[in-house]
Amino acid sequence: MIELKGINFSYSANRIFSNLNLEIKESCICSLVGRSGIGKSTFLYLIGGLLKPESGEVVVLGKNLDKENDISLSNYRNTTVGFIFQHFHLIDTLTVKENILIPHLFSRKAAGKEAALERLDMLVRELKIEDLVDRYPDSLSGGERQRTAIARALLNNPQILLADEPTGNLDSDSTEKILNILHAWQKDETSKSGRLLLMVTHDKNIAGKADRKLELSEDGLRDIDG
Amino acid sequence: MDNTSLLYLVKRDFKRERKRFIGALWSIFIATSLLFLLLSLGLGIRSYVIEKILSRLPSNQIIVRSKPLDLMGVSFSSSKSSGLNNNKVKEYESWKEIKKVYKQADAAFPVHVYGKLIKSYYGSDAIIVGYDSEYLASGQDWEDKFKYEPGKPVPVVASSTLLEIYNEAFASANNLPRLTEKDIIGRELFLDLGKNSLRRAEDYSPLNVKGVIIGFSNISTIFGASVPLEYVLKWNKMFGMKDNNYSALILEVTKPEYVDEVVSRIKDTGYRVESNLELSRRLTTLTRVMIGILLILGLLFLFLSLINLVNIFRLIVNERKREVALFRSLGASIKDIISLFVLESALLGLAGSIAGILSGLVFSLIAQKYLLAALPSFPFKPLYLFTFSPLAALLIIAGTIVLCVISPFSIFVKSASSDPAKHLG
Ligand SMILES: Nc1ncnc2c1ncn2[C@@H]1O[C@H](COP(=O)(O)OP(=O)(O)O)[C@@H](O)[C@H]1O
Ligand SMILES: [Mg+2]
Repeated sequence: MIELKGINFSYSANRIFSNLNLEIKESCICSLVGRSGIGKSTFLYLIGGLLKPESGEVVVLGKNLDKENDISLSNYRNTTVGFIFQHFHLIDTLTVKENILIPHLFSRKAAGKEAALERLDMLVRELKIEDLVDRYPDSLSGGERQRTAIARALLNNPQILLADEPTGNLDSDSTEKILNILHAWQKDETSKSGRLLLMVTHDKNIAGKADRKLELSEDGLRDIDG
Repeated sequence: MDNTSLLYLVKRDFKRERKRFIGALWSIFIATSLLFLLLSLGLGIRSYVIEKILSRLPSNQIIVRSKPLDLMGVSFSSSKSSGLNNNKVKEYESWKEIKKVYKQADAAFPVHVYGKLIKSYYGSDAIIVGYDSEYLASGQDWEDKFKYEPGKPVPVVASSTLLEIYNEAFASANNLPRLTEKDIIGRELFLDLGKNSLRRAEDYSPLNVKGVIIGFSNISTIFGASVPLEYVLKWNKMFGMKDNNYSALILEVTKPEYVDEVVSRIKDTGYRVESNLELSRRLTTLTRVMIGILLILGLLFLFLSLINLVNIFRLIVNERKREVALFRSLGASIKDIISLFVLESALLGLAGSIAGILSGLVFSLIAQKYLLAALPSFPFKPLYLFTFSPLAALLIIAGTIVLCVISPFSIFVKSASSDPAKHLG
């Protein structure tokens, strides 16, 4: 599903990746650990098409992202991948419902508002936030906020979910729930093509539950066991 | 992003940035209002100059006069030996640049004019100038009356400038009634030829002739009477002028471009040459410079309002870094983000400039009313100060919109294409 070939990347003088390689062949839950500042978020942005490598190729679902223009990359972010962040990144001046519908605003598909609203209804019911839709984010708990963010990431039905420390700001109870949701999403039998959950985490426990466990270090990416 | 989504986001931003956008609108409003007012004033000055001055100065005409003889500091502009005779007329007529030659002859004898105005007789020493009928009368509604017809009263044309001066300066100051052209046309007057209040023609006895005012002209000599050329030629002979010389020839060129060339050619032959072209040019340039200055002043205000707009957007963009990064991660393209900002600034420009132009219009109409009422009456007092041009209004609106988009554009581009990773953490 994802293939990184000889990726080099730096922020101006700050070298982050040298000749980074990775292949994820099948749909799975994949965890990524590594010390803070090593470049985990940067790694997700490369796969999410928000950053371009200096050299090397990022191929996702057969699509070479370097060769895409901004419009088709945006389209890719809008429909193929979903982002979830540690700090949720909800917009405070929009209600839960409006926040979830943001990807619909940038959708280039002909599918209308009706379809988006239907999808929203289904998602809020599944995520158990149907009673919160008209509230504003600052009146929600951390877990509720993250569930809103997940609904937003899933609105356009992506095949890949990129989660950047999704439980980093949550208590253990909420963490449990969020993880269950993400796992359930990945394992969902109804999805025609397989789904990939790529999750950055600090938590050894969480990482351990993944099908595939990756570690990012100064030497690059490597699979870890146990 | 489709239009519905774009409008949704714009609406939301206008709500959220209400205070700042009102600030931006206000400065655009003031600037375009002043710009429109100043430009309308400039155009007003221009149409005044064109109507009151340039239209009286046909630019394809050249006036050739004999050089005044300068005898011990006393100059004479007599028609004696001017050399402007029928041979000269023929010569000029043969030039390909010249379409028409008109003749003018000044009376070479003293004249006093008097007539009945209201109840009493008024009189004045005056200048009598004879013009080719074709030159002075063509196109006027008194055209067919301006003719040499011995035995009938002499047809006299007065100066419309004089009438204006009388009405606006003299009549109001001396409590005399204002006069219209109609009041005066058809009135009889008398010309004492050969004498005035200062002198008497030597060797010749004066002559009294009856005249009638048939009309007014811009070209006509201001403090005097214009009559058909033949009368003056005849009277000049009676008062001892031997040769049939003219005081001036008026040359009409086929194209205004020829004026300069013809003028310099005739100057070289020793005549005094006047053309309106130089004056028209100078006046045209002057009004252009004036409009330019007013325009620059107005644009300065617009420039200040644009600086304000740019600063406002700089703040907004700075505050929205995280939101822009988030939108990008959720599928907004660089173009989407730029469109959003561009539409917002264009709407500010549109609303601000339309409101500005309307208020500039209203304000200048009010100012015009009070200023004109406050000004005393004087000759050539304008009837209006401002000329409103719908084209100018449209140009200001379009220009303001374009400038409102262009000025902060680099900020928009920078914001839209900045690295989302930096702001999402
Ligand atoms: N936009 C940026 N410009 C410059 N340096 C950056 C930028 N974003 C991240 N960095 C730096 O790059 C390194 C990797 O960042 P990041 O991918 O966020 O690490 P992680 O997510 O593993 O903590 C860090 O040292 C960070 O300070
Ligand atoms: Mg990070």
